[in-house]
Formats: sequence, C-alpha cells, structure tokens
Amino acid sequence: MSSKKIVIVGSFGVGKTSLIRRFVDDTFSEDYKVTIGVHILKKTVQLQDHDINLIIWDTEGTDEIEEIRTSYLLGTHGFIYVSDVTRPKTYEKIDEHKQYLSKNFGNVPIFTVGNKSDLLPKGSISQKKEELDFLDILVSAKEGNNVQRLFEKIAKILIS
Amino acid sequence: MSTSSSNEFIVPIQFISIDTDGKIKSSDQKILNLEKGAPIKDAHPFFESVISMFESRATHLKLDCVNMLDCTFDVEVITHKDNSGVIILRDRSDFYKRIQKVAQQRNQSLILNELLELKNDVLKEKEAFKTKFIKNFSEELRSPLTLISAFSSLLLKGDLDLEQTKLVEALKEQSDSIRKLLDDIIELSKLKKGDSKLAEEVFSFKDLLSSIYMNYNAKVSLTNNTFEMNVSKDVPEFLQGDERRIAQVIKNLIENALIFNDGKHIKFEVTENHRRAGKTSLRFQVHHKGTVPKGLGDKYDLEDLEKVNPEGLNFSIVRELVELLDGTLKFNEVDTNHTQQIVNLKVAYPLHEVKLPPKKKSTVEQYKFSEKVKVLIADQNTTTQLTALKVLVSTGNFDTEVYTDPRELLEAVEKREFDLILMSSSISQIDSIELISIIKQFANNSNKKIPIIALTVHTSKESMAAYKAAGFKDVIKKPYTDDELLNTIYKRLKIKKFL
Repeated sequence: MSSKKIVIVGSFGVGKTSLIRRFVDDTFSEDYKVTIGVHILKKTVQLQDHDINLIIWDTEGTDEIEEIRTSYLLGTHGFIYVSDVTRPKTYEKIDEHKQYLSKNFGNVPIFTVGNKSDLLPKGSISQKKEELDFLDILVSAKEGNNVQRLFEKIAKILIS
Repeated sequence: MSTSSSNEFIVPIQFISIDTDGKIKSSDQKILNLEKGAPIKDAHPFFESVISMFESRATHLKLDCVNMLDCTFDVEVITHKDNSGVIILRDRSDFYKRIQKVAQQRNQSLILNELLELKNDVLKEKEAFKTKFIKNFSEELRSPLTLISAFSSLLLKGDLDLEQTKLVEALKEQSDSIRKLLDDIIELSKLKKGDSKLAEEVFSFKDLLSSIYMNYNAKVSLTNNTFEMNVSKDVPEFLQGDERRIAQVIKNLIENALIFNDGKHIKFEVTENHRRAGKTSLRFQVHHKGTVPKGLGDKYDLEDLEKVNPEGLNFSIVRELVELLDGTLKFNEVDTNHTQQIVNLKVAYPLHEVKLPPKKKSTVEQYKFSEKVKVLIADQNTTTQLTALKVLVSTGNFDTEVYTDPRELLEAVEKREFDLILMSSSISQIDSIELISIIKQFANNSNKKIPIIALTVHTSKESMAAYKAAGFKDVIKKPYTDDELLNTIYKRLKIKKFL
C-alpha cells in the first residue's frame, strides 16, 4: 500500500488540527489549543480499487507561509491550505501562498479549504459560496461536513 | 546549582541507527522503547515519512519541534548513500510546553482582535445603511410636511370660521408633531454616532424658560390640564452654552410627562444646586402623576437603536443629551403612582454683565409691492413646487415660473429676466451646486446678479458652507413654513426696487 505525505498549512485558529481530528478520529473539541511545531497522524483511505495511507503533517498556524520550517515541507505529495470562512484575513493571501508553495516544493496538488462553514449565516450560504468560489471546498470540522470527501478527493488525485 | 535547576538544562537524547532496509539496527532506548530489527516506519507515522527521504543520498536534515508519542522532539536525520542512517531525538517537551503557553495567549488575543475588527466593520456597515435610510426617509417626509405646514399656516391667516380654524389648527399641530418627531429621530441618530458638537454661546436663560412656559402652558391647557413652572431666584439670568440642547432636554422632559400623565397637573422646577469655577449646577425636575413603563428610558447601543420604543424616543434623546452635556439623569417613582424626572446639568454662566441683541421677529413683514417680483422656481418635486407657488402667490407680490427640466431652466435664465431664483437641491439628478455654476455661465447679465436661494433638506454645517461657496445667497431648510420662506426672500431681495 502506498503512503503519501500531506501537509496542512494555514493561519492560526482556522481549525487545521480540528479538521484532522475529525478525519482521523471522528472527534471534535470546541477548545482551541495552539499547535506548536508539527503533529503527524496517519489514516488509510479506502478507494474503490486502491487503498492509500495518508500521512498528515499538521503544522503550526502562521499568517506568513515562509515562516513554516522548510524541513517540514520536504517530500510533500500534496498540501491542504486551510482558511476560516469567517475571517477574511485567513484567505486574503491565498494566491500568493499557493505560488510560494508551488515554486519551492514542486508542482504538487494544493487544495484550498474553507473551514467553519457551519458558522456561515444560514440565509446567505449560497451568496457566501459565490464570494468564496476561489476555494476548492467548504468544510466544517465541527459538523463533519465534506471532511471525508476532501481527503478522498486528495487521495484520488494522489494515486492518479 | 541545585539538582532540579541543573535538570532543566539536561536534554534527553536518543540515537537510533537504521539499516539499509529501514529497520532498527540499534537504539539506546533513552526515551523511546524501540524493538531492534523492527521497521522504523512502524514506530510512528513520522518515521514513515522520514524513511521515504532516504533516497540513496547523504543528507543531514533537522526537524525542530516534532510532536509524537506524548513528547516534543528536535530531530536530526542523517542519511547515507547506502540508504542506512541515524536518527537523533532530543526530548525538549518542557521547553516547548512553555512556548506553547505563550503562543496560546498570543494567538487567542490576535483572533479576538481580528473578530472585534470584523464586528466593528459590520457595525460600521450597518450604521452607514441606517444613516442612509434615515436620510432618505427624512427627505421623503420633508416635502409633504413643508406643504402641510405652509398651507395650514396660510389658511389660518385667511377668513375661517371657528370650526374650520379648529380643524386647521389640529392639522398644523399634528404636522408640527411629525416635524418634531422627524428632527428627534435625526438628532438621536447624530447623538449615537457622536456627530454632535456643543455650542458655547451666551443666551438669556430667562427668555428660554419664558418661551417654554408660554408654549407648554398653552399646550397643556388644551388637554384640560395645568402646567406650573417654578424657577428659583438664584438661577442665573444668562447662561453660556448650547441653548438649543438645553431647551431640548427641558422640552423632552415635559413631553415625557405629557405622554405618561394620568393626573391633571404637570410641575416643572428649576433650582440651582451650587456655583463653582464659573459654572452653575442646575437641577431640572418634572413631576407628574402616572408611572413610566419599566425599561422605556433604558440606554441603547447604536446597533440596538431599532429597539427604542417609539414612546421612549423622548427618554432616549434626553439620556443622550444629558450625557453629551456631562450631566446626570434620574427617573424616580414617587408614592407608587407619581413620576419625578430629575436632570442635573453644569452650565457656564457669563461673569460680566450681558447685553444681547434683540431677537428677530418671527412674523413676516406685510409688504405691498408696486411691481411684482419675478421668481423662477426650479424644483422637480410637485409637492414642494406647489407649496412655494401657493405661498408666493398668496401675498400678491410675486409672479412665478416653475421649471423642472434643467435645459429649459438654462434657456430661461439666458433669454428672460428674473428677480430671484428658488432652487431645490437637485433637478433631474443634477446637483444644485453643479447646476448653479452652469446657470452662472448661461445667465444673461441681468440674471447673473440676482439672488439664488437653495431649498434643501441638507443643512449640516458642511452642506451650508458648500451652498454658500457655490454662490447661493441663502438656504431654506425643508420643511419650511410660509413665514420662513417669505422672510428669507424679503431678506435677500432689494426690497426698495419693488415698493
């Protein structure tokens, strides 16, 4: 079975760790605990005709992507760039950061994710979705919406 | 050095030697208990990632702050060309725990600030919408109010029988109430925004109180009630401050009493608490029978302005005004069914003798012109057009022409002769300030000299300055009364020419 390294990046407090916890353990905590350095977790994704081990590197949140320790990012097969849909500051520099990752760490897939979709005002989700259409997917680590789908999508792309 | 403190500087280190197949060749087991001969990748996903970097190259990689197996390590990975290598783990859990604590506080505070900024932006957006709404709403209301106010005033000057007079007076009173309500809403919005500045002028407090008494004595007596006003002898005759705001506070206190009065009598008292450093501390008290519903006078934040009960508007305004004037406000329930409203204000008073110029008469001069004044009315609003037209025609002193199309207007000022132009704030979406400059270009020599007066709802200091700078001789605020319109016109005309 093949293993692929996925690195989760994004600003602090956007819910990177919560997203992984939801995917790996199917748990969620409202408490915010800052990630220092990196945590590494693993989960096998079962696809129709192939299983794949995703080794997920959960990095410390930062507004400046250059501040992430380069050694964490070596040998990465794919990035997940997480932002918080309720905090525009967390997705304002998304294009710039994507360019940096592509330039320095090879032409690997970068998935842009808008977390905390559960906090969008119910009446304005479709309008907000249009505003956030530069993101690949909206997810909610709290409610679990689209989390499994996100990692399956990545797994499919990584084995193709 | 004590043992405990020296321990802080001792970092446990573990060396793990990896063979060419990625299996553990040796480990000193100082931190992690690793089975010799077992694949290192099975020990933790971190090692699985790391081992994939052993690509038959000699490298030396450092990874700080790696969290695994309940510890935080600084890791060194040394690889050889034969795919064997060494992994060095330094357990720095205690150090990173301290860093984590600091980062936790910093990030929480940054997120909180970010969210506060966002909330502030939303509030500003909401406020801008509200201001725009109030502005549009007030503009829409001012035109019909101008007509009602001016026409009822005109009717009252004509020959009406008693029944008709009463009906028209009722009409005028109601229109004045709507006008006050409108001004109050705008005032409250301004106060909440912090847009209000205080005037610092000397005024006759005695005259102000007399006019309040005259006004409310008449008003209260209409409802078969009595109004009593007691002013203590030591209250200064003149004050130095914002006359309009002080009057607003007093009037709103009395209006409150009128709304919630269950008895037959309203009593208003003004006393002096003390004088210090050129300021007098004045106490205003209004007593009436009847209680005020609880919460009606509560203070609301800007975003909760819509929660203000319509009956509580006076209370809200008083509260905001008193705050602006740096005073205090209390509502007391007395003997279970009486209410006492108390306001304390510190106001400066002039230290030297004061001689104020006599106040202008509010009534209009009754001129009879030998020659009619030719007035051009440029206004596309049919209601205010009609109002100005009727008021001017009723005097018999004016010939009027109304223009609603800017092109026709320019043609008229070029080819015809007028004595005065009345212009609303916009015509066919062309702003009057822009239009006046075009008029000045197109007008014939005679029309270039005539006064142009603006009829507008925009009467802030900035707007007034802009009108004057653009060349308007005067500005009449909508809604206006017939007297206000005529007085301004007579003031700006060269009257002698027409007498």
